[in-house]
Amino acid sequence: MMRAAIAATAILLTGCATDRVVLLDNEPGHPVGAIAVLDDERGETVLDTANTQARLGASGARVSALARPDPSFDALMATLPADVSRFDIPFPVGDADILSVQQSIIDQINSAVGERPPGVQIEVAGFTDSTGDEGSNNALSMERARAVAEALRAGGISIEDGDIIGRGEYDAQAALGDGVSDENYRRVTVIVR
Amino acid sequence: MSMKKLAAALAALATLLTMSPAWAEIGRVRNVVGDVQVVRGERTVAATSGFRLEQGDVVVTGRSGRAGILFLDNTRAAVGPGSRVSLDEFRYDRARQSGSFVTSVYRGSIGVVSGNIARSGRDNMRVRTPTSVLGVRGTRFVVEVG
Repeated sequence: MMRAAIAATAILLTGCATDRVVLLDNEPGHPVGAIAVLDDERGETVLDTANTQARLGASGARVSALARPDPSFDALMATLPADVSRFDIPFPVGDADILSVQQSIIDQINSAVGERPPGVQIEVAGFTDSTGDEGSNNALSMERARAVAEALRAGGISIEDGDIIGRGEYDAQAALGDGVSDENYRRVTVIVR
Repeated sequence: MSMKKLAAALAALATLLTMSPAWAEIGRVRNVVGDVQVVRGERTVAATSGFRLEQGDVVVTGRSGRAGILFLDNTRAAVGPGSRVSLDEFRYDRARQSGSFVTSVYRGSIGVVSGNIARSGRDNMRVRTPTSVLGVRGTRFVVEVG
């Protein structure tokens, strides 16, 4: 009894011995990534292999491999919300006019909304390629986003003003550098989450 | 004020407006199973699907409660039974898709698929436990406390 009490106190003092972080496999086709246990004094401990864990405590991280993921992880990860649904709508060079958003896109967005629990958020984000300057690209991407949002609203889809976003050329800059004309970045992406 | 200064001031204002202020929505509760509550300051509210979370909220689940959360940066999180998880910091520039995200797990479990904030810079997403700080460099992981 006394011994159990001493053991329990020891656990409380060192932080719970059962605390841990486990790095899991990523979704198929995507790299595993990594988790670092940050520690200024001892230096960081990095997990970068799927199904490895680090026991966490005041005395530092202890890494070990798991033979298989704990079955309780399946139940936990089953609670994750479905990943966002994405719909891309392309635009011509320098233009924010869309003749029409195809009814098929509106139907697909409506069906994605219908598959989700109540309280769906719809984000409408405009992008540009990296030709032209940052300021005008911010403005153009916002015009594109507004044009699509208005078309979707006319099709009966509810979008809040704050979820209409101009992302300018930042994505294109990061991927391709400045001054590159690329149709993949002349678009609006609608995200259903 | 010169045109140049005015343009700089407007650009600064635009940046401020796109950063999420402390009281703004940071994500939504999407799936709810059993008892799930959100503690915001002095108030405690039962969460339902669509509940809008803010920075500083604490998500508390009962013994058989579970919650799924989708954040503005597309991070997905599952909070397991018997958990207490605090959303300490969520700063996200929705135009540049970058920011910082700090969560504390006081007890219970959380499963995460990281999103744009983790991708925006090394350890921009962190998870605290009572003894440790984790830097998230992607992508799917579980943290258990207690």
